Amino acid sequence: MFKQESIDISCTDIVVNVQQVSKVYMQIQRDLAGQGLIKGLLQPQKKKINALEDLSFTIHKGEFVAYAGPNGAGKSTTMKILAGMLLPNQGTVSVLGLSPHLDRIPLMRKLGVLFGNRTELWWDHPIQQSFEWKRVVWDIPKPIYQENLALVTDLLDLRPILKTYARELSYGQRMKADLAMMLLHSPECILLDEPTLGLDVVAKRRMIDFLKYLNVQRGTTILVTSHDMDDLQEMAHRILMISNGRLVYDGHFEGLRTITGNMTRITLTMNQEIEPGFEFGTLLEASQGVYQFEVDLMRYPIESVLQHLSQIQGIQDIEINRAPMEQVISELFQRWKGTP
Amino acid sequence: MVKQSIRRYFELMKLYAQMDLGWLLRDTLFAVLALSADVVGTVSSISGLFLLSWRLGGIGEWQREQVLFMLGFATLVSGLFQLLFTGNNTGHFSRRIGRGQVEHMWIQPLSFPMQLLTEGFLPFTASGNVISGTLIVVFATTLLSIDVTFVWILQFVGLLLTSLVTVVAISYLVSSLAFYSPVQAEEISTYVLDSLRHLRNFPLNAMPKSLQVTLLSVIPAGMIAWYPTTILLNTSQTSWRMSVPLIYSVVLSMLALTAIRKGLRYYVQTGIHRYLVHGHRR
Repeated sequence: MFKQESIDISCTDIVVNVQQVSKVYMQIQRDLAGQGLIKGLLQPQKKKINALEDLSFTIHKGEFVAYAGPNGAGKSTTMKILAGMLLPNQGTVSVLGLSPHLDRIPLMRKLGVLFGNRTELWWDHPIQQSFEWKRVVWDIPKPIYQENLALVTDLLDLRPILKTYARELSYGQRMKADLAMMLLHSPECILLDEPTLGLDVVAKRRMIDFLKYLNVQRGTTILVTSHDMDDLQEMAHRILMISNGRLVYDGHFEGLRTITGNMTRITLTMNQEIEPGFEFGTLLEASQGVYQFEVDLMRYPIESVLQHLSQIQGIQDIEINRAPMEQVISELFQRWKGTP
Repeated sequence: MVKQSIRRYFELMKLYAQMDLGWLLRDTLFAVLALSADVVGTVSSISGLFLLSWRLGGIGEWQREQVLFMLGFATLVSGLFQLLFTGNNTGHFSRRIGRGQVEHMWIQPLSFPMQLLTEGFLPFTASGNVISGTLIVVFATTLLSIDVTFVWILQFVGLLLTSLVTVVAISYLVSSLAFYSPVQAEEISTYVLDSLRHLRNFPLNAMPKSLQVTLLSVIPAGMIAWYPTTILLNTSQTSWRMSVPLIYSVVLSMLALTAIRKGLRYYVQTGIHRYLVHGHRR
């Protein structure tokens, strides 16, 4: 596991504490026909899936942490364990100093949970009815409720949809309303599972800005999962990456580049369609006199690369970009795939 | 603690009553249609057997007025179940389990019993059977010239609640199967309660003893309306029989509670890898 030690955590209060957690699922395996069918009926074959294996991490107060991993890595399982919906087979979990399983009721007064693929809104009622429901069920004192309602209504621009039925909202509007509802009881920590899933660019931007506002202005601790690495990088200060149920990286986003070798893209536009003799990189793409190379700046210092480029004849334009985080992480996923 | 729980219970009941009214009054056409459908459904559910018994002058050893009283009692039990447990599938818990919707319950800062005892309350859209059941019971009581004393009313209310507890306990007991087989057992409580609803309307007097015992124990259709009616109409002479429905409902409730607890323990171990967006909240 790669762990960066340089993260600056000004506050030492631990909000999420996961220690040596393992979770095992059993999957039934079945043949399509023949003897396998009968055998499956009498003695079903089961496959053991290690959804989480010896997972340990802590999140401190005020942190904004991204939780990433490929499909089936164990992200949602972790979220469900933190929310008390699942019990680990091994290990201990505490959120805000409470056990999600044993102290569910007091914990839920302080915790906010949002799963992107489901809604807590009341389908056949206006949004403001769902908010009122939240106030009564969470027993939120009226002044706090009014203050939070005003805040989320303004920041998430909810006024035009407050009287609209949840079932008539667009996906983006529904997510905004769900997020707003989750925040009405001033949670100290929030768990978000794929909150930007399916949102368009504008809705996503608003969601990200709002989450950053909550983290900075209110000091809310946030743990968020997403498949969109660029979103995660923009929101979070720290990333936890899991693969095959194991924690494989814990640190800054930038630290990921050092693992993959700080890959950088150099695009050369040539006067004529003559391939430049560029020796430091791998050619990724060539089209109509534009050549894109991938260069590992950990291996070749930038000074040498620039010096070499200055000697190539016929260059019309040079563009140097860092490899997208999406690509860096994709490479890491590939590398960790199948790692025991 | 108890005082606070009672306060919270009534706050939540008030909330769900308001939400039910809001749902009913969303537009005129919808409100008229919903109320009309409720009336038609209620009348048709009891009219078949009632007309049959009236035409035949009774069923088995019972006169038609006695049959009418029993039907009224059965309708009231159904009505109370609909009033208190129809909303959000609280009375059909297997649907919540089978649809992966129990997870919604985990994130509310309320105990599960508190959630299940309040979320189903629909005083405006599901009170049809309570009204018609009450009217039938009052009508039959008049026809039978029953001496309605305070003790008799207490007996009546007690037996009514006992029958309601029995129905809810059966629903939860069978619903617990959905923890282990969510897809197949999603609708199990609906099927079981529907079967009981059809069976409970028949007086068991003329039935063979073995069938009576079966319908009062394994398939307790007789315990919902017929048996309590025998007590209320004094057709049963032994005083200890009053305690039978109570003991039965308590035992069944304990079994249901144990089954649901075991199921929930299984649920948090395995999870349910199935989530359907419809059905949790209407």
